Amino acid sequence: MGKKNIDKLFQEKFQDFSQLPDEKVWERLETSLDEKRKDRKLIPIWWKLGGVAAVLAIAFFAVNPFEKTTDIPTVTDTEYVVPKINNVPKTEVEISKEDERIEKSEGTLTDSDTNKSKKDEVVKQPSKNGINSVIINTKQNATTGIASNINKEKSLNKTKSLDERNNSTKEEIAIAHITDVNKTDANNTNATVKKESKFLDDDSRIPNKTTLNNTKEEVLVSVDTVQKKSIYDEINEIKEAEEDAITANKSSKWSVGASVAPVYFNSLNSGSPIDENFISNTKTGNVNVSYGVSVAYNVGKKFSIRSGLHKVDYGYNTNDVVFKSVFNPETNSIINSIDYASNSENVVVETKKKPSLSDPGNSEFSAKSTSREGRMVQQFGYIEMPLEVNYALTDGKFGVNLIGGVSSLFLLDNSISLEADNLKTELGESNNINSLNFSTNVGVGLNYKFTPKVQLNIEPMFKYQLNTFSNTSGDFQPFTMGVYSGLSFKF
Amino acid sequence: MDLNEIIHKCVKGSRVAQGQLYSQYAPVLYGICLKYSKSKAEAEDNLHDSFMTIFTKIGQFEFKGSFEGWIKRITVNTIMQKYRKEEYVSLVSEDIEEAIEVEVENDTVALGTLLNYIQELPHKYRTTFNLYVLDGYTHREIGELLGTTAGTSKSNLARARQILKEKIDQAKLKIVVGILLFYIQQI
Repeated sequence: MGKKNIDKLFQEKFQDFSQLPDEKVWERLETSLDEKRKDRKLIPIWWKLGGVAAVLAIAFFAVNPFEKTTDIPTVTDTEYVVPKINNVPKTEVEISKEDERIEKSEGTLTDSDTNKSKKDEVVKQPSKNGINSVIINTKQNATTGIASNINKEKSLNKTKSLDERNNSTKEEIAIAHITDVNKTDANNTNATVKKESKFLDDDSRIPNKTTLNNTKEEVLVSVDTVQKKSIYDEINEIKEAEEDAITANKSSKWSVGASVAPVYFNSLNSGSPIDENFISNTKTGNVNVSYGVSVAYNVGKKFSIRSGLHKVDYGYNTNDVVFKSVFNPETNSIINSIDYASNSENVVVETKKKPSLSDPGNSEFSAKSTSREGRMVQQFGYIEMPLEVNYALTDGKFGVNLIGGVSSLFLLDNSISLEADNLKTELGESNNINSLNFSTNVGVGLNYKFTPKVQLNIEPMFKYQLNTFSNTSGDFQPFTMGVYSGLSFKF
Repeated sequence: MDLNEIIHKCVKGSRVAQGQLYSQYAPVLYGICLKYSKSKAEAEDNLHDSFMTIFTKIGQFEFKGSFEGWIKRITVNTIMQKYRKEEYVSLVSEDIEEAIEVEVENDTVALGTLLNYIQELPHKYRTTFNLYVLDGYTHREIGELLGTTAGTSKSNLARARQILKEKIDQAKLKIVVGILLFYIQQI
């Protein structure tokens, strides 16, 4: 024993100073490491989902152009405008050419006809009416049939004498007729025929109009009708094909998709889901991740019903709490809404109000106090099953939708822990969280169609929770907000 | 498994390797934590937090120099950071004469008692004393660590020595008085 430098004394004593810590430190460290691993695992899920989405998007971009060429050439109108423009003029030219041919051949016939049947003079008015009706009735029939009918009628109505038919008149009528043909569609054929009959009426005032003239007209008309029919048939066929394609396209009523969302949980009012002691404490919501799949069915053009399965976590913090480990906690310091974990039964959590607790201070007596300031973190995980109606406000490449519905939430996990600085202690479970909970959902859906089958959805949603807690202190009205984004595919 | 292998496996997050590293170094680091904390419970918290930092940052260890030195520094830094965050370290410099030599007459005090004395010191004194005397930091380094100046550090150190000396001397006095009282009672 003697005088000694205090530094040396301590240095000697504390040289290689080590002490085996309590085993519970390692246990706590393990749980913290587990938590951390969970947190870390969440990020790869994001990445994986993102990766899948990206691959699918690229795949559909790459594949779709080929699909278009092999499929029925439908979908866009522009593709059809081109064939229409190309075909119609051609057929018109053909019609006129054919008409000319017919005229020519008829011209030769006329001569012989006129020679043959100058007697076959007809009262024009009735005969025309007859012809018209015949034409109308027999539009679908072959030209020859019509011609023979006309001849029959004509022969029945021979009453007046008429002069030889005039070639020029015939031509005029033919031209008029062709122009009519060009103008009209299949549906207007009757009108065309009527117009012709007007022409014929006018002609009938001219004395030198013959029955032959009429017959020729009819032949022309009928020939043209047949011609017309074929063109319109073609057009109709295309139209039908188009419509088929469109309906085929529309018939993809089902769609599936995947989505992820950051979800924020908070309360509209300032009550506490834990205990009335914490009503005055500040509280903050946490942002967690929700992810899942959804299925939608188109009910009409505008409406679709959708459902799905989502995994969702909610987090809620009660701030400014003080907690400490007490050997024998008083019964009134136990929070009723918490089922304490076995290793945290001695933890007493209080709201930070006693200055002696909030300030561990420098006094040597309070130096032994183990109380810490921090926050109480509630975490609950659900499987969410939504049932929502989607109403499309706009259509097209960019779509805007209104979404409304309800969700059933099935509680999966539930925990309360205490956090101070880097320290995290599991406290237990809330016993006032309902295992089945409902929410009402409203939101706006924005989508962008990459292709008719693939679309990107971004949906900010507000979900009001109806019965998360069975009894809460104060007015606690929880809600969640999230922006759900993902891809969906029609099939 | 040799240390390098353990470290590599810890980087990959192997729980077994983490356990091995912990059992190998926890006593040493717990010793540091005990010195720098005011209680056993706080020391345990600090040990927990330090190991969390070590496991998080273990990928940054470059295998240059001693691993033990590296994790010791991490431990000290973790504790310092926490105290700085909690504003336990006073920024007010005190004008106390720097006493270079403080001597005590009793060198038979047990390690546990000395540890208690250190833990009972106010934070800034305990930290400074530990850093300077026991862990060989310079005053400039301490100033940087605590966000103060070298002068403040020197002053804090002197005050820490003074308090410790008083405690040790008081302890001797207490023992003497105790023995005396004992004999008086016997008589």
